[in-house]
This record gives sequence, structure tokens and C-alpha cells, in this order.
Amino acid sequence: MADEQATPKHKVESILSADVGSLWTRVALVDVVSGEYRFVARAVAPTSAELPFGDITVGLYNAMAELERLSGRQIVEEGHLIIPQLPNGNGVDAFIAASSAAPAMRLVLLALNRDITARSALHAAESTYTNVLDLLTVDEHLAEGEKPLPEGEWLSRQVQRLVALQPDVALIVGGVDGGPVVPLLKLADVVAQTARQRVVQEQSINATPTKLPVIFAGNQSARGRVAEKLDEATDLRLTENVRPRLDRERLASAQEQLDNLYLQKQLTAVPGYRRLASWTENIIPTSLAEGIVTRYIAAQYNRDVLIADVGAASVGGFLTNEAPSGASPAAGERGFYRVVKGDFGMAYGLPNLLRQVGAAAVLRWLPFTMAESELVEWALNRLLRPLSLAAEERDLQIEHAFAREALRYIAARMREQANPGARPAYDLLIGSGGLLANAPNPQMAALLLLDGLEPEGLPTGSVELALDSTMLLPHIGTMAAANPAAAAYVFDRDSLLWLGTAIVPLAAVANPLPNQPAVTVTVEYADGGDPLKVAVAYGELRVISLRPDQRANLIVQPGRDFRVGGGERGKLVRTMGEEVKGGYVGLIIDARGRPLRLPSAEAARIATLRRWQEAIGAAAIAEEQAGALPSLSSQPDLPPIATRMALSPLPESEAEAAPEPYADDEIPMAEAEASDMAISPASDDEYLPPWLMADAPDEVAPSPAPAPPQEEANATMPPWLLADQPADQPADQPTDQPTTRPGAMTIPPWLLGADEDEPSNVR
Amino acid sequence: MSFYYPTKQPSIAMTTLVRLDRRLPFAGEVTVRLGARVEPDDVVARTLIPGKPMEIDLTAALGVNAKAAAKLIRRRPGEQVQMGDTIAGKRNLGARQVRAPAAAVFSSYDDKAGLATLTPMGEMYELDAHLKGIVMEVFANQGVSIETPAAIVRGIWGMGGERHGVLKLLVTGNDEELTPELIDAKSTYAVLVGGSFVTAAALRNCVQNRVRGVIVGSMPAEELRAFLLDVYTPAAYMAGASAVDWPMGRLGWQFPPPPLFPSLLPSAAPENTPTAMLLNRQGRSSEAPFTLIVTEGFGRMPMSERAFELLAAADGQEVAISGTTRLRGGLARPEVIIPLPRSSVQGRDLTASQQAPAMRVGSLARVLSGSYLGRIGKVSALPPRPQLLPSGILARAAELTLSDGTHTLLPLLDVEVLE
Repeated sequence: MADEQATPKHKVESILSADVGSLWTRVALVDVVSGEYRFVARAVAPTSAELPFGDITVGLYNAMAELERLSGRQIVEEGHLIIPQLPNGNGVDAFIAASSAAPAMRLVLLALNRDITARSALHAAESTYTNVLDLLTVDEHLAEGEKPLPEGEWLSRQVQRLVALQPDVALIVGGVDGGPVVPLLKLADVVAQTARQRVVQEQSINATPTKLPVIFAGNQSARGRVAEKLDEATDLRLTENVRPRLDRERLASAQEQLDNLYLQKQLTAVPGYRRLASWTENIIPTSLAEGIVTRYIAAQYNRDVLIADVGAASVGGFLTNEAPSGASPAAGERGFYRVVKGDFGMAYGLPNLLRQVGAAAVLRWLPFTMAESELVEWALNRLLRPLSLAAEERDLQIEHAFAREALRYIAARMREQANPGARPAYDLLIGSGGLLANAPNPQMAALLLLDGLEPEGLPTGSVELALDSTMLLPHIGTMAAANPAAAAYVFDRDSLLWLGTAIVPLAAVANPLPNQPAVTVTVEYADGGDPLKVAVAYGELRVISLRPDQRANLIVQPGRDFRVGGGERGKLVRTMGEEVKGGYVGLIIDARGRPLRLPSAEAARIATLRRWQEAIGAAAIAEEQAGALPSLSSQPDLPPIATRMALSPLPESEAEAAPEPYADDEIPMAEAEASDMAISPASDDEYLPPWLMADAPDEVAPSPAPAPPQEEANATMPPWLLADQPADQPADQPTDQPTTRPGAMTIPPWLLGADEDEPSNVR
Repeated sequence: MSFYYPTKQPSIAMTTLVRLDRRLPFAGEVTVRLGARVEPDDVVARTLIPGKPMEIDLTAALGVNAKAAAKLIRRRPGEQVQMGDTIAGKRNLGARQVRAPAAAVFSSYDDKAGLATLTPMGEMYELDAHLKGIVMEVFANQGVSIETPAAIVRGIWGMGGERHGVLKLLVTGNDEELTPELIDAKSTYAVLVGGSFVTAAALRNCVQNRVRGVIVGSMPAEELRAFLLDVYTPAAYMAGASAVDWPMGRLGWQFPPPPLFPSLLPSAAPENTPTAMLLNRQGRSSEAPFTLIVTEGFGRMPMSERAFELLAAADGQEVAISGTTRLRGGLARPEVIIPLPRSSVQGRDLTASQQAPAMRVGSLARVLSGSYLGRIGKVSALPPRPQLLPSGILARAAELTLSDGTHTLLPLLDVEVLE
């Protein structure tokens, strides 16, 4: 099947993409509709890596059966994928997959010292699914104030320690290029002996001995001698130095090896993986797919973008922005940073997260009082039943409190990596992962992103918030590597749900007085109507109505002690040339200050959280909004991402002419208009997904049904609400006539970093 | 075994057919024949388990460098040595010599580090039947498969390995705590059934009275922590975890907890696998003092009525229990198997009960999360469309009428069908 797909003559129109996660397997179908690649349908089923199935393809078949039912297209015949697509519309032209189903790699770090190189090594390690077990350094005794041990004793002690940890991989770093070599050889000795002991142990239990994978990413002049020590005993991989100079960090090479290892060692060990691999050659780790999508957005739309993913077994942040001058990478180049915690997450990773941040950190986000022991038990019970959904509001609040802390951890790590001493700059923030996509309302998701990541709107003064509500981003990343044109279309048209734009006034003095005006924003709606003027006090959060189909010009006047973005203190800024885009939340003015501060007194803390939730509208869950929640299909058909808000300081003359801020902040806010979505899936009464059925019900038979026309499809359940349903039912099947779809491009230029023109298919 | 994934196996079954594979960690000898009736204590297979490899630093012992020491080695790899046999050294009188500290196999010499490796002779490992039943299949050199009609209760988490013993009911209701006073000398060697939860003090009593197993509805996390802290040596505790957290080793605070014994090693080592055998042999984790099985989760919740009724009815019967719990990488859930006499199930088709029934209106179901965790109710409605839950999330849901008449709407994933 994969061969057919690889032949150049075979035109790829329909693509089936799978994302096999640790808990859920998601599939998405993309096809050419009216000359454009469009997202057709998606489905989800629990991952089946564990007993009694012990084969990930079972969950994949379940998801595909659901997809067949939803799309009316037969994809599987007698257990085989139908590739390429048949003239009758059944089957698909290509199958691609991303996976994070394997547990994180257990990794030990070995470094010369705890400060510089170890930190770089940790950055490299925390870029894919790893669980950093321990850090071993030559200078450890210094930290503990002990005398150094005699050489032999030190060695055997360290070896004992490593053998006991049972690592999947060892990462050795240390020294700048051209620095001393001898201390690194000590580390190599530890690893070599550990590897030998491992072999002896495995032999003693009649297991086939395996070589310990070792990545050496240290002083390049030590390569030869390190290789001499490790070549025979280990599976050695030499990469670039993660810290070639004291002021420079180079993680890409080591990260790539870690990605490779995850793919080669961890994923291949997942039951059923080999079968999946026999269907397609295009399988990549999900974190890699998300990284690709981040860079794609940055390159395509020239945006500084952060994608934050809160998953079941891992949490990740992917940032790309233009480097500030003087930093590494060189000024003007795009920096790309990713932080993945393979041992965090909303199901399997909860206890690790709790251990890392502490119960108090999680508890402070709850708008009610909860005992620490109760939280611990909640986390452990969730771990025992990882597929649980939050049925009660209280459970949801706890889940979201954990998610906030996971995001904060990611943000802190990202700060350390991307821009030491300052906050990372980005003007587009995309939330991804099941927890965010399934949030009861967009307001809740927006508040979660703001609380967790504390964006500052650097450098432009604003940050756009979006949600990967269809959970297509990993698919798009996978697709981008195989078929960039399809990825571009689907991302453009079918992927993001816009939450709105956030303006973040920052305090320019150390301790600004609470309740003094932080910012006054004048909103001039592009479609006419009276301009709104809203003053927001320091410590407050306000939302101004700006629907997804609305655009507005802004004049932002920071208070005396405040600034906006990279602007000066008290200096007025306004949109220049481009208007601000609306969203399902609206225009958010987050004057709560950075970093966020919660009162320590319990009652005040709860009141503050409630106030924030009310301000953004997250508290009003459910009933009145249930029928009116947005979906992608209800988004206005505008080029979704091309508008970029740039708040620029006014030229001096204009600034003087700008109106004075209003004294009062009581300007009526228009009611957020309800979207016109209706809930009315016509068919499938009594239908249960096959994986929920103990006995296969008769009605599940995936008999291809005629595809509903587009208009009817648009009136179905908002997919935003319904993770398990497709956003769009399939529209017209592609005709046999050649389309105008540009499919000529094979390698995306933004992946190569070449100076090619923009793909012509993207507006 | 089933776990939380909506599988086809019931978590509570009154009568079913249990088939248990018993396999050796390494190839060995099967000691029973096909069709044999076996009792729990009967040995069904045995094998030699190799000892923990020992390393001897020859450079230090002989006072020469690693290359020179290689020339002084007197044994070939694979050669057997008895305790006190010379391994290396010059042949002249009075020269330094290195002797084997125990009967072992000379495995290898590392001429870079100067270390010789000796693997001690193995110990005999005997695999018992664990379950009263009939040998239905023999895996040559590996083990057997034993079958019996039985009632089964699967827990949600547990600790400790396989045990068998007589079930002893100590409480009168599913919501009654298993208090320390209830456990006394009469509990010796028994598998105790409690109602709601158990405390560290009660578990200490269990150790004292050589109890074999404890089955309860729930356990408060802090009580479990207190108990584990009690069992761990301070050194192991310090090495394994920071002072405030659960002693879960360097891997962090994860599940399942390590064996109930001092261990610097990561937890989650499956029992009866080569790794676990190795750990046992190293003396770093020996057999847990008893097996604990929890049916509902952490906290102070009553045991599910169904599970309690079934266990209470089996008071005084011999049961086989296992506390092994693994969430990923070979899912395992603790279980209580209550073998039934063949005569009692004569003529009945037991294969049907090996599958959990489908969910339909009228099904008896158990709640798996939230404030009703463990409660049992009847499915009163199964709306075809996703429902808006109290949390605001929209999902496929079932409406349950609990035994006290309360109506509640729960996501399908948080409901488990019993019958």
C-alpha cells in the first residue's frame, strides 16, 4: 500500500491521518472538495495498546469504523485499508500517522556540572517524551559539601546508581567545544560500565542483551575518545554539542536523536505498532508533528506563535519567534523552542505533576476550598481510571487547576530556554489537546490559557488566542511533512477556533497601586456603530464584545504607570493599518498584571477567582449557551490568520491629537451575539460507538450511507462541543476532472528553510 | 485482565469460568500432567534462577593495571568455580590471589575497568498452582493453564502478589470501616474482607497477625503513606523520595507503589517476570507481608454493594487473590477468585458470563467517578445524543437511578455495567 502511495504518478487527493495517543486514537479524513483540500470528518476511539487488546490497531479500526459511519465512505475492507481511492469514492489515497502512545523514555543525564551544560541537556531532554530520572555530575560532591571520593569508589557508586535506575537512554553532555576532555571520559566510563553490567544482568536471566542507547552531545573534541570508550558497549549516537559556546545553546541535533530514539525504541515496542508501520512509512512522534505545525504557521504567516498542548500523558509547548538581537540563535533568525513533559498530563501524568508543583500550587486555582489530602486522592483516582470525564463542575475545576499548573511549568521552562530573564514574545497563542478542546465554553479555555501562560503581548502589545477545537493540529503537522498543500488548506480553512485578542497592559513601576486605571481602550468597529471606550483598572479583567466576524481599530491608552507591549510607559498606541480580529470570547483586556497574584487569604482568593471567571464569562456555563456554542462551520469565511494586529505607538503629533481617556469606565458593552448553530443530528439514534459496546450491535455495520449535502451538515451538532463528531460532513466528492489544486510541491520550503515563494495555494 | 478500558470482561461476576496461565520466568520443568486436579499449594513447575552477578575489582586485589590483570586470570568465561577457588593471581607461592567468594560461573572480565564478573549458581524457584482447579493445558518447559468455575471480583488497585487463603468477613456492612480491633489472632493466615476503608494502624495489625490478604472498598492516601513509611527503612525512604511525598522512588510519585519493602528501585516491576525475579534475588524487594486489594479507589468510600455481597457470601471459602496492579505497559488489575465446585455449575454455559453485558436501559451499573463513585444504580435512560453534563461538558451519557432513588447523569465512560 505504501508503495503505491509513493509512486509519483499517483495523485494524492484523499488523506487519512491518524494520531494514536496514549489514551485516545484520533483519525481525520481530508479530501479535495471543490478544488480545495478540506477536512471532511474525524472520529475518536480509546487507544487499545493495553490488555485485553494489546494492539493499537484495534483502537484504530474502531476509530476508522466510526469515521466510515460519519463520512459514508468505506475505508477498510477485510482488515486492509483501501489505498488508493476507488472510482466509487471508497478508500483513501494516502495514510499518515503520528503517535505518542508509548510511555516516555526513561532518561539519565550525565554532565560535567550542574549549572550550564546540565541545563542545556535538560532543555534537550525536555523536548520530547522523556522522563528525566536523574542528573549525574562530576561536581556533585561540591554541591553537597562533601570531599571527593577516591576515583574507583566514585565510579562504582555512580555505576550502581545508574544500573538501579534502569534507564532507556543516557545523555552525556559537558564542556564547550575545545574545552578539557578528561572529565568527560569519567562520565563515559560510568556509562560504559553501566552498559556492561546491564548486559551481564540480561544474560544472567537469559534475556537477549541489548545495547544501552547513549547520546553524546558534549565537547566535540572529546568525540573520538568518548567513542573509543563507548562504541563497543553501547548504542552510541554522536550529535552536535548542546552548548558549543558558553553563550550559545544548540539543541536541534540532540533533540533529533531523542526523537529518533523515541520512534525507534519506544514506539516500536508498543503492541501493534509494527502492523501500523506496515500501513505507512509516514509515522512521526506527535510532538514532532506539533513542532512542524508551529514552524509552519510561523513561516507561512510570519507570526510569533506558541502552541500549548495539554494531553493525557504529556504536556507540551512549542514556540517560534524572532530572536531578540544578540541572543542565540543569531538576531533576525527564527528561534524554535519546544518543551515537552512526557511525564506530566491530565491522566497518567497527574501524580508526577502534583509531585513537581506541589498540592498548594494546584489548590490555589480552585474557586472553593479543598483539603490537600482530598486533592491527592482525586489525582490518584483519576490515574486509576484515566478515561474518566469530568461529570460534575467540581471535577472540571480541579482538572483545569491541574492544567493551569502544567501550563505554568511549561511556560517557566520555555522562558528559561527561549529568552532567559524575560518573557517569551509571541502574538498568537493556540491551545491544543483534549482538555482545552473539550472545555465547556470558549471563555473557560481562554481564561485557562491566560492564567497558565500569562502572555504579555510582546512585542506588539496584543496576543491573539485560538483553540485547536477540532484537534487537527497534530494531523496537520503530520500532513505537512507528507503533503504540504493539504496541510496548508486544512489549516487555513478548518482548523482553528478564534477566541479573540488579548491586550495586556504591563506595570511599568514596581508596585502599582491597585484599582488605578491601567488602560483605556477605544474600540472603533469596522462595520460602523458607535465607538466604545472602556477603562480597565489594574487587577481587573474585562471583555469587550467583538464577534468573530467583526473587526475593529483600537486606540490603547495605558495609565501613567503602565505600558503596552514593547511601548513606553504611559504612551498611547493604536492599530496601524490592520484591524483587530474578533473571536468567540471577544476583545480581552487582561490588566491583572504580570506575574498574576492571588490573595493569600482563602475567602479573598476564592472571590478573586470567581471575579475573573465572571469577567470573562466562563462562569456562565451550560444552559443558556449550550445551543449557541460556536463551531468552525459557523465561523465567517474570512482568511483566518492573515490579519495581524500590530499596535504601534503613535507618531508624536498624532499622539497629541488623540482624545483623552474617559474618566469613567462605564460604557455599555454589547451583548455577545448568539451564534446561529442548532443542535439537531438527524440520524443515529441509539447509536453507541463500537468500542463502548460489549456486544457488537447490529446497527453499527458500517454500511456506506450517502453523504449529506453541505448545508444539512452545517446544521449538525457543533463539533466544538462534541469531540467525537466531525465538524463538517463530507461535501461533494471530488470529481474526476483535474482540479486547480496545486499539488506540485513535494517538500515544504519552510521545512527546508529555503527562500522559496509562498505556496501559491495559501491565501 | 480488564482494566478501565471499556473491555469485555466484567469486574464482578457471580459465576464464570476462570482460566489462569501459570508460567515460569525462565524455561524449566513442568511437574503436573494434563487433566490433573491441583490444589493452590501444589507445585506445577520449577526452574533454576541464576544469582545476582558479582563484580570483583582485580586491579585493586592484585595491585596491577587492568591489562596486566587480564594475563593473570586463571578461568575461562563460562567456567564453574567453587567457593574459595582461585580466579586470578600469579602461580608462585605467597603471591596475591583472588578467590571466588561463592560457588559461581566465571562470566567475563572487563579489561578496560579491570572488573571480573561472577554469576552465582542459581536457586530453585517453584511455581505453585495458586488456584484450585484442573490443568487444561501444558506449555512445554514453561508452565500450565488451570481452569475452574469461579466467582470473581476485580479491584481497582492493590499491592502484593499472589496469595490464597480462607475468606474471613470482619464487618457487617459495605460501609463499615475495618478497624484495628477487628484484627486479632483469629485472623491469622486469612484473607480479610472489610467494608469501606482501612487505616495504617489496622494494616500494622495485619502484619502482626500474619494476615494473608485484605480486601476493602477504599483507602485514604495519607493512611497508605503512613503505612508505607512504617514499612520502609529510613535510609530507603531518604534515598527514594523527598520528605513530604509518597515514597515512590526516583521515578516520582506514581502508581503502583513499590513492593511493601525497602527498595531503592523503581516500582512497577511486574511480578513473575525476569526483572522482578532479579529484584527479589537481590534482596531489595522481598515478598510483601500481605496482599491488599482495594475495589473502589482512594478515599473513604464504601465498597460497591455488589462486590461486598459476593465476598460476604463466600465467607469461609478458600480464595486466590492477587494485588498486582499496572496501569501501562501490561495492564494488570488486582483480583479475587473464588473457585466454585464443578457440580454447582453443571450444565450451565459459563462462557457467556466471561463477557460483560452490553449497556441498555434497565442494566445494573456501577459509577466510576465523581461523588457517586462506587454506587450502584439502574440505567434509567440512555439518550442517543450527547448530553450536557453538570460540568458543562457535552458527552454521551447514561441516566442512572441509584439505590436511594437519586437520579444522576453520567458520561458513558464513567459507568460500568454489572448485569
